[in-house]
Amino acid sequence: MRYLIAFFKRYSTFFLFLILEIIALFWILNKQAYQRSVFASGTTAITGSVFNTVYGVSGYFNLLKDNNKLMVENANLRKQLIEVEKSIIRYDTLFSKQDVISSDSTQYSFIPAYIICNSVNKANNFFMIDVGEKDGVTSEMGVIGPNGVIGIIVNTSKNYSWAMSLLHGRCRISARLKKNNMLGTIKWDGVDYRKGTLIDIPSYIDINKGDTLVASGFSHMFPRGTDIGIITDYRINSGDDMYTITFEYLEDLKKLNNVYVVINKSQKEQVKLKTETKIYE
Amino acid sequence: MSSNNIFKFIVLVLLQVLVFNSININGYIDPYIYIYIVLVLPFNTKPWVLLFSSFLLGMSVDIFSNTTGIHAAATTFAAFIRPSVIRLFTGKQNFDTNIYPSIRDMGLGWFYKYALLIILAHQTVLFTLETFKFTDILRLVYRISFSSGITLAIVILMQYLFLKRQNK
Repeated sequence: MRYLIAFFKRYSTFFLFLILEIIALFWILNKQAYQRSVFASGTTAITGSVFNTVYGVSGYFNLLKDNNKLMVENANLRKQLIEVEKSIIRYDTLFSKQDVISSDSTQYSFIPAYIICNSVNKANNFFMIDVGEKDGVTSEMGVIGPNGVIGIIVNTSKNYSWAMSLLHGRCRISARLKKNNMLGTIKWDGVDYRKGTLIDIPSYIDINKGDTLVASGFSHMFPRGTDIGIITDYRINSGDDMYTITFEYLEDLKKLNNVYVVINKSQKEQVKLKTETKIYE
Repeated sequence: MSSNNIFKFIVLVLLQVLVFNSININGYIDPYIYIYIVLVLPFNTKPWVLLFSSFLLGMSVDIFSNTTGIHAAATTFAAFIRPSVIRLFTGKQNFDTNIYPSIRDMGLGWFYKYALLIILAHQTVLFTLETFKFTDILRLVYRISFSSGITLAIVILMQYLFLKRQNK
């Protein structure tokens, strides 16, 4: 017994080191469980208020630039509005106006938010925005910028939310080619913060540099047709006759400040239906 | 830890998460300067205090960066090897209570070697855990060496800033 105590005393530092490292490793390996935990929500509330205070000061320096960006976005939206109105009038003879509007346009609503903390240089990048549960934000909601898709909410507190950005190793979003509706999946290979990779497109499909990628709408997070990126390069894999396509994100995540959280009113229903159907797989 | 060190702790965590986390040069270089506190704690700091405070330091940075445990693991490792690194460069000896592992007390050459080794250990564990795969080992080595270099430069710069103030 005496020897045992002496042994532990002699190596006590080493044991403490081991215990602390095991705690850290446990934390690393249980990422998902941690992000859902109450503790994570509590820390988000604290870090959120710190980042928000800092953003309250640093935000002023970008006001002019942000204003210009919003003006450009407004102009674009105005243009789209006119086009939509035109098409409604065209359909008007066939359907009642109500039918056309109610189908897709009211399914999604958007909550404006500011990015108050962001990174693009890690292997897994997150950003924090200044809206949270009290604004109706929950996990698994999509986040878009003025030019396209940028991330997915993973953790929320009352006033703030963390989102996994496109620049996250585990971020997979279902996308399609705008010109021929071919479905694929986008991911980020962790090198360049402006470039993503599109996979699962078979090599018989015709692809050109400059083609646009849009959200498929299958993930329930992003409205169908939300822009993602422009193809800059592609090659055919030797093994499975699939393309590996490199594209540039339309949204520059390093410069972004104003974003929108996408609320899909039928997301719960769609996800429920999807999980119920899984038993037939 | 003395109140002075606790103050340094808070300032360094805030400096790291608010300023240095958003600095990124060339896609490779991320300065992780919060390791400074592990470097400059007094020689006679009890091992368990050193380990615990380092774990807390890493954990705070983790929480603010929304990473899970990688900074805690890396910083605890750096704190664990610190006594051995000190023994390696100075031999076994007892230090006066008013001598610190700093450029002023130990000289630039000593501090340079000591800081380099600990920073390298810290960044190696950190970047390896962050990537969690060895497929792109060249890029990993690039990141570790460049980031360690810039962190070391900033740490030495900070030493001179504090040195100046202490001399007055």
